[in-house]
Amino acid sequence: MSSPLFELKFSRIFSLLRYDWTVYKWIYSTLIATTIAILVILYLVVLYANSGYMTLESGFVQGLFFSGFFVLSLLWTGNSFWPLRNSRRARSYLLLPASNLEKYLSEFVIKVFGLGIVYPLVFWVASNMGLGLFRALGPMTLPGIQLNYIGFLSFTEFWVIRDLGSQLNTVKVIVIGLLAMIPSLMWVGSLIFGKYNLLGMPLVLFISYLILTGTSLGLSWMMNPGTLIRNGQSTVEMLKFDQPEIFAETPLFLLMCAIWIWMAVILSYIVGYVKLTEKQV
Amino acid sequence: MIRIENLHFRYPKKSPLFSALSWEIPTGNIVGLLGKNGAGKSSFLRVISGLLFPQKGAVIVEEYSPKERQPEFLKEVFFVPDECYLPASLTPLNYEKITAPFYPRFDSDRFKSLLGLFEVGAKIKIKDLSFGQQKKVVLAFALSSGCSLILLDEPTNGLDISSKATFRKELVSVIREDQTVVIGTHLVKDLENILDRVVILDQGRIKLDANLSDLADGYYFGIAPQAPREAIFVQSTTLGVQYIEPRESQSHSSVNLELLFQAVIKGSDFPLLSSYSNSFSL
Repeated sequence: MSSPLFELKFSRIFSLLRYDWTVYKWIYSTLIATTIAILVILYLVVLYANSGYMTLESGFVQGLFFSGFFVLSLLWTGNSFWPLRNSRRARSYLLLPASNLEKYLSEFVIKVFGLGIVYPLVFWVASNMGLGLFRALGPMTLPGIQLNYIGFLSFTEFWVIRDLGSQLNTVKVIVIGLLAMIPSLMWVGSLIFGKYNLLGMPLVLFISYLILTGTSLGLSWMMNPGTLIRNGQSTVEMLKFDQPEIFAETPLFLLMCAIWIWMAVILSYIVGYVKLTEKQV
Repeated sequence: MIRIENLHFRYPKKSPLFSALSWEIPTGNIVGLLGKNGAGKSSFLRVISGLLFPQKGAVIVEEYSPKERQPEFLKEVFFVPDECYLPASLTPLNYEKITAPFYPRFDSDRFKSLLGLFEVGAKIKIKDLSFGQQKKVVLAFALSSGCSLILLDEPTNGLDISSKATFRKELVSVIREDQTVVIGTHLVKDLENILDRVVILDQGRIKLDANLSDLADGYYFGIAPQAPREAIFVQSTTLGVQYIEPRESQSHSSVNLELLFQAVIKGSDFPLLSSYSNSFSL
């Protein structure tokens, strides 16, 4: 590709990945070891605290997996483009002979690889370490403990959202969109807020939520002041979010939510790229 | 070649740093960019390297616009800032291993040889090197990069006396004729005898842009108990005066950069310089 904006050469992306790995490998190793340690401890805490009735079927594994996914979305993708946090590093990084697009893609590969491939692997390893430890230590510390329902975890068990099957397609799109949106917004936040991203992007999300909710309630009240009042009390229960339906059993509200969420995902990456090209130090 | 036309630049909420600044240099010079603290030397170098973008005007390096940061441009430019960054956990050799592939004309043997001349251990972790030693690693890398344009911001800052001499010697010996080096500094003494050209930046403008050979041909830089009548600039010293006067019958003197700098900053005019040399002076 010849346009300066979209210049792309895989050998340079490979060189950037090699550069990143060589410089930050000790941080990555520490992060993996810390994640494993925290997960093992969490497994032991949860299993010991619920030793009588907790099984793998009760959903706690998925709860742990998605909690970890959420935390890593904040900490891992929220700390993208580390070199840009510091002006000395930023100068060195921005002047590395590779296009903005190549730098952007290499960082994207690192974050997606980390969150989408390394984290599930780490979780699987840590889960089985935690479960194995509990099976080994449980009977010694808690006599009479039932281990029959504490098995080992297969690799695909924890990241499938099992009860999606019975939901509307729009709801599935929303749930998957939310899973994609959190890391995407944290990604773009790292280019907008830099080292203050952990505070900045969640704050923006909270303010956006307040504005959207406030606007909905305000508009409803303006259109029909009686809508929000029942028995003299303010209430939002009277709002009919399920009307109108645009497709069979699909309210317009849900469809719009799905569209907005996926727009946020896509725009995050476009805005992020533009922010990188505009970076000055 | 670097060509700057009508450059306007200001930092947010600050007064303009450069207004309508124009400048041009052909390929193959060692240029000293002199200026007082805060004159904008570092910003000027960062604009040329593409780290800062002009608000108005054009900056062209060879045929590239630096702000686009195209790889073809970046592999021809090496910028050594005053405060360099090197990954602390690596050794200079590791750093070379991961960075050199970006520069197609990088000379690994020269890098190792320069590290030796600078007396920096190639296998010592960067975090164990002093500020000056880290600077030497980056300078060795810059001089080995083979880039067409090398931008050095205060390169001698942090170097010991013998390293400064080594740097000057190696800079002159390794730079090819098709390479341009722009050195921004306020330590003018460190650059004497290595520059082809001198540019003096003051109050956002280029006040002098001249070949050193033209200056030496046109002016005499002398020391005497008293200044001659023709002197265009005089500065008192403990032993008498240092002065600059138009050269007539005097033998060639070496250009005293410090004196020249003082003269230009204080508004002295240099009418004998060729029109090209002084084309952008005010």
